[in-house]
Amino acid sequence: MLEGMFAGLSLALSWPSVGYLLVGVLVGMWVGAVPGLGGVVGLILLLPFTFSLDPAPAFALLMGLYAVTSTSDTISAILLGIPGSVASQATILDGYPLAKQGQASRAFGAAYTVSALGGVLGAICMAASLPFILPVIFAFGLPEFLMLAVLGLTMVGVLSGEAVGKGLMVAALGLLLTTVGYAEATGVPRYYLGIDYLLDGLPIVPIALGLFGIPELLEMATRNTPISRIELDDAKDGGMLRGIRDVLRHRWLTLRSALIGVYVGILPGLGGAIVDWIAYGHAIQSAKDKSQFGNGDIRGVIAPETANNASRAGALIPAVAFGIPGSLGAAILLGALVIKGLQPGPDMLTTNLDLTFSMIWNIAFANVIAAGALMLITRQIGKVAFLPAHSVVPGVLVVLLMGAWAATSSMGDWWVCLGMGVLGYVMKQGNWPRPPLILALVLGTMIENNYRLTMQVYDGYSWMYSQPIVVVIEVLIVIAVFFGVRGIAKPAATVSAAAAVTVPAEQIVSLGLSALFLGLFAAANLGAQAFEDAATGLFPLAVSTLALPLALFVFVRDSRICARTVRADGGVAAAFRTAAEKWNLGDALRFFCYVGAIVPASYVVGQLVALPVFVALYLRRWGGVRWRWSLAYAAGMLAFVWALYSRLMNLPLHHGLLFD
Amino acid sequence: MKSSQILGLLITAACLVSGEVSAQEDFYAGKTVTVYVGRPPGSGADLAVRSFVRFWQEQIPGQPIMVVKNVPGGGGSRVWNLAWDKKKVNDLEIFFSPVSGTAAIIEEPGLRAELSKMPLLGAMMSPNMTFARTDKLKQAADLPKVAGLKFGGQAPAHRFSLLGRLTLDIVGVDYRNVSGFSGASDVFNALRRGEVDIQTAPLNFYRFTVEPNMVAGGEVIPLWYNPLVDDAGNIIPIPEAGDIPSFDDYYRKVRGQEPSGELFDLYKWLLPYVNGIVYAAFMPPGTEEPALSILRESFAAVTLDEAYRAEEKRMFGFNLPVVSPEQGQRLLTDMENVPDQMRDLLDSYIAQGK
Repeated sequence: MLEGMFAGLSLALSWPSVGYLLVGVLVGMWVGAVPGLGGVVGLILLLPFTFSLDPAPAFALLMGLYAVTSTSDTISAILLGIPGSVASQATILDGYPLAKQGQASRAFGAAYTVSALGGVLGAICMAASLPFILPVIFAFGLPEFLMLAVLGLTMVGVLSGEAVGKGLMVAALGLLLTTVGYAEATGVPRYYLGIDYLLDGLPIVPIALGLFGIPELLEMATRNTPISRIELDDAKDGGMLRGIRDVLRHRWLTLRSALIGVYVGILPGLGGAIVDWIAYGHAIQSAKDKSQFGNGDIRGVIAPETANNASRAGALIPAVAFGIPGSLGAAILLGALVIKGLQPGPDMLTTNLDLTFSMIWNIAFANVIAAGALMLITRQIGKVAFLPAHSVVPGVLVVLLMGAWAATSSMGDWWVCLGMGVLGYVMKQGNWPRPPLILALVLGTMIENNYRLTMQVYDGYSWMYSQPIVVVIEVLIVIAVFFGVRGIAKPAATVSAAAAVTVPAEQIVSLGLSALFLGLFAAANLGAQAFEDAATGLFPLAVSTLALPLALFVFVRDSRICARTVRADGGVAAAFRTAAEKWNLGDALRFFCYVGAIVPASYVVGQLVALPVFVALYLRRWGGVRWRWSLAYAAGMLAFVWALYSRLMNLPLHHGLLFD
Repeated sequence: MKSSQILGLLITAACLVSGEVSAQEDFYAGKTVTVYVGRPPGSGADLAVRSFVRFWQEQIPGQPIMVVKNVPGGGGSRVWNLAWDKKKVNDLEIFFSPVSGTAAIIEEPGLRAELSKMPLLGAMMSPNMTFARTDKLKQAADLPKVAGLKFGGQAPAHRFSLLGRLTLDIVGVDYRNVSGFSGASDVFNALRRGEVDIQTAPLNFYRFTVEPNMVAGGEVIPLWYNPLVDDAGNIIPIPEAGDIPSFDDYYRKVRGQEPSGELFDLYKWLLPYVNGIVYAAFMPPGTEEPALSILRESFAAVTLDEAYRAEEKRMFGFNLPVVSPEQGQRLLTDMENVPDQMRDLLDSYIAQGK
């Protein structure tokens, strides 16, 4: 084994492998930083270049990219509150509030340090575990995956703050959204409303970008304030060095998060999507003072950023050494192996052990190089947080919409993104937690499929007590639910006292959301009962049946609170007036009109016209920027969209009725 | 005829031929051809199409730039609808993706395009095979005697689930169907953990994943391969299958008679549609010459290109048998004109798997 390790090191350090690794790292940093692109797109871009290379440089190129997209995706997560990729969703919860407090550099310092540490620790753990990792992977079967996904769902309690009831409703909606499209088990399409786009289900990227990104951009546009609420001169956060010191202070959390990353990462189909949430939940659960989580606690950045980089090595090994791809990225690497004439499996642990180790070394080196390079430019990146809002909003919105477009290159992606933007804005106004929706979207299909498959394999419920790992997870679930239930009870007791001082605007929105969710659950329930075969309708029926009484309870509670606050505010009309002022309703509607107009305009004149026109009009009419600068900015965005998305990434753009 | 006249004729013919060649070369020179694939980037089909296109670009006279764009969605049907809905034909868009025979036969929602009415440039077949764990089944011939086996598959209408279940039912195996896995890798993981015992998967998956990881260690044995069938119903042998028997041969060996019955009729009828045309390249309806002949000839040329065949062999473990445009078009027409009796039988068989 040691011999293989050193042979791998020598391969990784040989020329031209090192050069290709650097190229891979550069491309990886770029695709990770642009929201919506991510590692899979980058791997596809680079794959053709590997055809003519020897295996070692080919995999140096791919590994360089694969390892670092979860480092640079932190930029938009912290600066804009927009997840750069699936791996950075949990980072926005505390990273973005830190940027608002003028502490973006500190957050970056911590994030890059732990990304490098996580990547290296992950690689070391994986290398050390290589001889005995297979039994661990196979100890987790269908029932274990099912219970792990359920355990992941109990994180809703952690992610919902004090609004656990509402968090559960949001999670239920997320679970129901996963049932849109063809049912995996029966092949019957569900809730697709006759729309072809919905047959394959709702893609997660446009949902996450809309739910988190659009409300933040709206807030920036309507308030016309920079991301940071304080001036650059007043931002004495200690910068990057403070972030590095934070990591040293929380070194044990870093280590534990790396272990979570690497060992959850090895579980096929579960790892990459959920690992940052699990690490984030662990950071909260293991903290003595939890009060600052969600408001800018640096531990909320350290834990997910360590775990998502550590998981890369974890996800790689099952694919390479055992032919088990845990993610699409790993599947592409598997394809690359096959194209190179290598067989994933025992050969990679015997005859080609040096190559396997060179990949692990590449991951470690790439993480360190990317973190170092990003640290060098952190100071400049951090300044974006202090730029005027109107100079940031249109450019970021275009990137966000194109990130959503990259999901399936269909106008459906934009409708979903904008729809989720509206929902996200309303949820933010009503103080409803948004992260549970994403968590449930990630876990929903996993829960439904594994439940059905488990029941078929075990022909009943014997798995619940016959599998030791399942029993252990069940105990963990009970503990998590216990604390979650305490969370529901607490605010209910204090709510009546708080109601008198709660902002009525929030209560009115919350009531509206309760009613909307109640209606959606009722409709989903009726729809589920109408499916001909039980297997197709079982999951949505179960979720909506459990969610309905909860939604009714929250609705009644919100109605009572709302009635009380409306009375205190001097009647319904007065309450609505106050609420509208609080929401900046006029500006919010104006923003959605601007953004919403891009979609029909794209149908007519195509995206390459609609997007720059939006940019120019927004800057001129809303931002008050001179025509000359507005047009220059618009031309820049046109060139950016055309060059990056159409030419380089070969995304099919919508040309519109006039130009098709 | 005088020799000068013959010479004159030859020169004229040469000019005409060279003019035609030059016209062909000019047609795509300097142009960009977009190839749409209906699967997400990085999927197996996407990689296969991208690999083909690299060589195709070299074979088209004038060597146009070819770019691959992904348009996944609609259960794989969106790409065909996109071609079907084209209002203007520009000879620069090719639609190259996996065709789901069962989706067309059972008329799954979402597929508006009538594939038989779109010009086919060429297509490839892809065989698959069935294998089993050895902890309950020591040798392939024991299959009918072992009880309580579990067959793992994808959705009930998926071709691997359909062929797997059909063949097990024809042999008369005592098994339980476990359906709903997301893909062949997921079924294989369950097989490795012992949660299911039997799987049907593509032959290349067997060669690259199953064989080195489980067959070599004696944990899995191959049972049979589901053969390719030409449009006359003749079985196309697959040399790469080695000593693994085709399903018919396996049946004859263990049962000592020819396979027969309603389910075997369904199996035989289904094979050409689900195995016989798997990857297909179309142009939008209304596309005319010379684009069609240029692209058809170049498509065929790629499949004969030694460099491509070597890469294909690395990717799939063997060279995929090629379907001519005429053969493919006949299959597609048949798919859209399924006898009611067969469709009812297929529908009810799929429903049993839910």
